[in-house]
Amino acid sequence: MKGLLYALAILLGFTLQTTAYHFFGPLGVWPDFALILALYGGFHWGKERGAAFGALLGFIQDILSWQSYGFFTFSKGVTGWLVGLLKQQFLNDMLLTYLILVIGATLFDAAVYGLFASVFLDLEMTGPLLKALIPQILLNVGFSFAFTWLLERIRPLLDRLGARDKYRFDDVLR
Amino acid sequence: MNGSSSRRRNFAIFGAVAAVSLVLTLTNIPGGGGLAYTERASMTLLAPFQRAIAWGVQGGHTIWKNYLALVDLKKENEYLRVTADRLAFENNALVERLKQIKRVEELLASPQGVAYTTVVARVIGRDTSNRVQIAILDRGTADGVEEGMPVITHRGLVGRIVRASTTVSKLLLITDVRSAVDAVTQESRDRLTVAGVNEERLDVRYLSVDADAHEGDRVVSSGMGGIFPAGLLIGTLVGVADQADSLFKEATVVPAVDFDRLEEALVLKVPRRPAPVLEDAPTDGERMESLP
Repeated sequence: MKGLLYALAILLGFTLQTTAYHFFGPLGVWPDFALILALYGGFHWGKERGAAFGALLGFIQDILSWQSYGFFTFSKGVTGWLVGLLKQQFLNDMLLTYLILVIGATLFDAAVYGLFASVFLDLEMTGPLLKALIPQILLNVGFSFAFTWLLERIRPLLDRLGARDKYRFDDVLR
Repeated sequence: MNGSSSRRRNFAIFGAVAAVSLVLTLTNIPGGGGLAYTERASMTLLAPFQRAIAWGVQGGHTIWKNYLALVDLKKENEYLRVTADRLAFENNALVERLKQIKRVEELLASPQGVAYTTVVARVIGRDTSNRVQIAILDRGTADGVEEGMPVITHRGLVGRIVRASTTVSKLLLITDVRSAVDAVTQESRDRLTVAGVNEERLDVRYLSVDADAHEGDRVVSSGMGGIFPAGLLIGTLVGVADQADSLFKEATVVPAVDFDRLEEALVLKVPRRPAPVLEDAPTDGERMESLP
């Protein structure tokens, strides 16, 4: 049941990811739901499972995208791992932690994409990436907290289905 | 000891993720052949959900437009807009034809967008990130859509199909940084290359300093390169200026198509023609068209 729940979350995440332009088209930027889910994985399950979950999300994003195999696998996998590692070792205040992690992960994702595109595809992406950075950070922060808030609301249901995490969402909103 | 073990473990996790990513990257550049089947399968799997959301959004949009906001005026406006689009398209086609007749180039094909068989497709999704300017169309190989086919709207050139599964396909927009279209100015017939920069405008490259192109000139595809037929409207030239110590002028093109509001498009069933391909070029497709 727990596996099915996460599979549904991934399916919903990527459906939203590829249709979000309906709502955010004029901005030219939309929330990175794969990044938000990878953050969730690292934050709540620790570095090992966070890395595996992030890499899985990144791999799906890679194959749904075009000509970018490996970029998102690396970016999301390392995000899941790094978030798990940082939270475990250095960061205590939950709300501030989450904010810093979302911003940091968005910056890291853009940096990795720019580097990979430059090295492997010979594409200069610095301009477009920088232009989209601030709205991307704002959208990712907003939707990360909305996602967290929503999950806390359905927490009793998730607990009954056996999806109890190491850290509770209540901690994040504390 | 514990610290050392933990460091090794951390390094191992990072190394594993990096290694898997690197293998994926290196085995799939260029062309993405290795995972193409997985890509097509995932596109097909996700398509019903994308269709549902696109249907819901567009349905909601239609209800709003038709029932809540000045029904008759909206309808009339819509009719006039569609008519204006059609006339603009036909006008462009006729101007192109006139030019060709004047130059006595009967051997060239007539304006291509009118002559080819087309497939009407609806945009049901976009790329997972905004870094690749891709739209997902609800038509695939079952409808006769194939990789490499050009896509237009009544307003002008949109892009080309880069991946097609049975029921859906991926359309690479001309605004993407991976796109470059060989083009000419409609009036002066000056050659140039129009390249995407992931923004609403398009970059102009290789427009000679001797060119007689002016601000406001219309830019159409030249037909060179084997992907896009000749005479498809790309956009309007703006910001034409000489550059110091350069053989080329500086300019940009405002696309004729509003890519943010792209809902339907026409896939042109153009038989593929051999393109001037360099085997070791970094990317395939339109980038080849930038070759002089």
